[in-house]
Amino acid sequence: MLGVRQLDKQQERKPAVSINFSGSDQAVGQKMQRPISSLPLSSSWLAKLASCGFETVEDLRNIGVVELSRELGVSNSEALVEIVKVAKRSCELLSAQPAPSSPLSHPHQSHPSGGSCPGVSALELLQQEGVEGSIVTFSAGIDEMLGGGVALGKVTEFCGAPGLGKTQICIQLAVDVSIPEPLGGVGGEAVYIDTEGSFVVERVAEIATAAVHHLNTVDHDHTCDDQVRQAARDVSLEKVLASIHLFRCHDYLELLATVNILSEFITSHPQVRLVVIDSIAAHFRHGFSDMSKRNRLLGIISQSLIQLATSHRLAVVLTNQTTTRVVRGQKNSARVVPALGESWGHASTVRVVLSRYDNERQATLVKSPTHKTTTAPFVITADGIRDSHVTTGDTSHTPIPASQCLPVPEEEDFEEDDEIFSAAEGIMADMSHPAMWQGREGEGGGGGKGDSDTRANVDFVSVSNLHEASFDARRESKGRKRPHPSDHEL
Amino acid sequence: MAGSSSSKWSRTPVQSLPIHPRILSALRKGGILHVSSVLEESCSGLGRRTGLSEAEVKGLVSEVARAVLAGSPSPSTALSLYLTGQSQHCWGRLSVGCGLLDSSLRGGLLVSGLTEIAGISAAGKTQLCLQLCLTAQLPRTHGGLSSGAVYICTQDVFPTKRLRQLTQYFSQRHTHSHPSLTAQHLSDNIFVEHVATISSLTAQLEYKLPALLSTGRVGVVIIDSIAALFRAEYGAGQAAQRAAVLQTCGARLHHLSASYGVAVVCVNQVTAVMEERGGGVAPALGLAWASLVTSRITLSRDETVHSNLDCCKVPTAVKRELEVVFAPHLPPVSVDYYVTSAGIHGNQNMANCCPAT
Repeated sequence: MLGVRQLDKQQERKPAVSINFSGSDQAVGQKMQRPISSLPLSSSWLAKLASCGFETVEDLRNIGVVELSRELGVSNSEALVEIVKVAKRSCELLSAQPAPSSPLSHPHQSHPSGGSCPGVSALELLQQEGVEGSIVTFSAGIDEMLGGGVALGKVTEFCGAPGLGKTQICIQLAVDVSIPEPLGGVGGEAVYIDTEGSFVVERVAEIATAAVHHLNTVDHDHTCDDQVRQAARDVSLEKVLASIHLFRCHDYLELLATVNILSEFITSHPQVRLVVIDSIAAHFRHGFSDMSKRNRLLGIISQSLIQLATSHRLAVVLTNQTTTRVVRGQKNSARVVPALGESWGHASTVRVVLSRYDNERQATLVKSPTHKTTTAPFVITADGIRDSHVTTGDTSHTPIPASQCLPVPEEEDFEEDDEIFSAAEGIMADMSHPAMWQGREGEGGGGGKGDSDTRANVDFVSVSNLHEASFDARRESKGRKRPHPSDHEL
Repeated sequence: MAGSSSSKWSRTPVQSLPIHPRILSALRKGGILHVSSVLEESCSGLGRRTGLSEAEVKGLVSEVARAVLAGSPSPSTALSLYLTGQSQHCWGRLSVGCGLLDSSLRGGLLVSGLTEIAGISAAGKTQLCLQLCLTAQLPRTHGGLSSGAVYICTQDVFPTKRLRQLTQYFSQRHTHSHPSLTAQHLSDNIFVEHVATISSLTAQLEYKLPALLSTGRVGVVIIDSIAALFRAEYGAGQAAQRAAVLQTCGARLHHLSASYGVAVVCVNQVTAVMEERGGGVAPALGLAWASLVTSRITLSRDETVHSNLDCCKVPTAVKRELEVVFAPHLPPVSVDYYVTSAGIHGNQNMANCCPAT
């Protein structure tokens, strides 16, 4: 299990935090002397802070919401959180600024939402990203692969065949988003949009109980400072569960409507740091004869989500199903790919594929603007997502052959899915796709099912490529229904 | 599809919503007539088509979104769901009729979503389904759903005799705790339907079932089996069409489950898996179907019969295995079970006598 110290360390590994442009600690120290009164806070709060003895940003630097609440004697948590955030941001930005007389626009004049406001320099965005933090998964391997967890401000997609743990990862993230900031979390709330009816609150409570238990142990660690221990004490199952807001969408129109009202909901719940849609594919894989309409609707959703992610500084996590794509006229071209077609591939910033190899669950990062393609093994325990014990440590040094990383489907009888219709739009399967998607040897079956030309050639396809239906026919002709070992020796 | 909200809103004129007449006329000019078409257009697209300002479009879209979501409950927190479940001792599970099996399944099958029971022929799939028809009629406090069952047969004639046998054992077992559950009453609440083609199945799901489910007399819908129809009607070259129809059916079942709060159980056959190292069996119908399944349970039977006819008069019971392949609330577990004249039980010795309640 991941120690909280490790969690902290992961936080520190963020690029922007380690970047020291000025290289002069003294200069940073001077900048920390910046008076509280210059912070972009309301005057009543500034007066309150001043009356309680806070003078410079330095005083607020390492303070948490809970401690601040005690110091000021107020319980308006939203305002307190805002103060802590503003102070923290200013500290980070100050420590990274090259010179006091920087021609850059003053960070505090910039829009708090960073990414969406015009005229922000790349440097500021980089600094912003460091402050934004990420949501840990409780699997050090996956966290490391993603660069500290699921990043705020980005859209992350988890794809995988059924039963590989997509929903479990979503539940784990929805729980972990409420880890308080002093403990290395983001101290936020989660919006969980369930489209498949797989949100089981007992399971959520189980994962949350384990997380709460883990965080509470920090309280007994006397090497931690009081603030951290206080935060650890404050974590409770009730608080974690109360921070997960569940929406249930029964069809695509409800999903569209929900995405539309999300921005309103998040404005009234400013602590939301995570939006989960489990799964995005469920309502878009049926009932659409017009693929261009489907892709357009998906485009609308993805645009709204990206806008939410950047303007409210939250992480968007989507799950996607998988499908088998067969390219017409090409033998052995069947491969398992994420569903919803090629154009949806652009919707997420980060894409993680879950697969199973030798009975071990793996997460493979196949798309990321910042991190290289790696594979991290993980396990799902009663407590939630954890590191696989067999290969703890640095997984990046034990690369698994790319050809073995494909998501293994539950069954052999591949079939074409709606994706075949994407060919009608002129989008054929992308042959330059990462080697991740190569079919396993002997499993590249299908041989162009649905194509009358290749169907005639089915005899020339290897035994493993034969379709289920032909087994059926044989079985029935032999007068027995159950598969028999001899079926395997053709 | 009839009944689903997307089709309802694609027929509802946008005029029926309380929107300012000026905006309505702009929508009419832009050719946006139905509620669904407002949401199916991006904000900038709406602006272009109607000539409305950005703020007006935003107001319109959120008004329409609220109208569409008006029927569904507002978001609830996990805490409120958890507390409700705790106070009512009701977690949305359907008992399988044996304490041992239920404890392995953490209370039973998940009511929300779609449960698949796959297995080789004679593994006990139908037996389990018949038992579910009975346990569904138990009160909610005893793991049931206090309502009846719909049993859609697609491959065989409904095993009436076996059901009769089971109901007698079942009512005997519960005669003290639930005297109202007589054999007569139990069979009265099981609605059997025979379906031979996919089109008649679709008709069932679209029209007949919603009418029956809306009476509230049904807690579980069982399709035995989903594979029979789809494997028969679609050949090797029609995988794409089969996947499309499967997805429509699956979505329809999900919709029924969500809107009427009923458990949906689908029986599936298995297909041989060919691998270099041998292989075994896997549930049929492929990835398209598997993606629709919420919990997958496979049944298998041990071919070595535990025969002890010589020493006592206990009838032979084949050891079978129930395995959870995936489920959102369960780890992959497997548990042995036995089928006897009294039904399905996790314990061989308990199988013949009445279990303590």
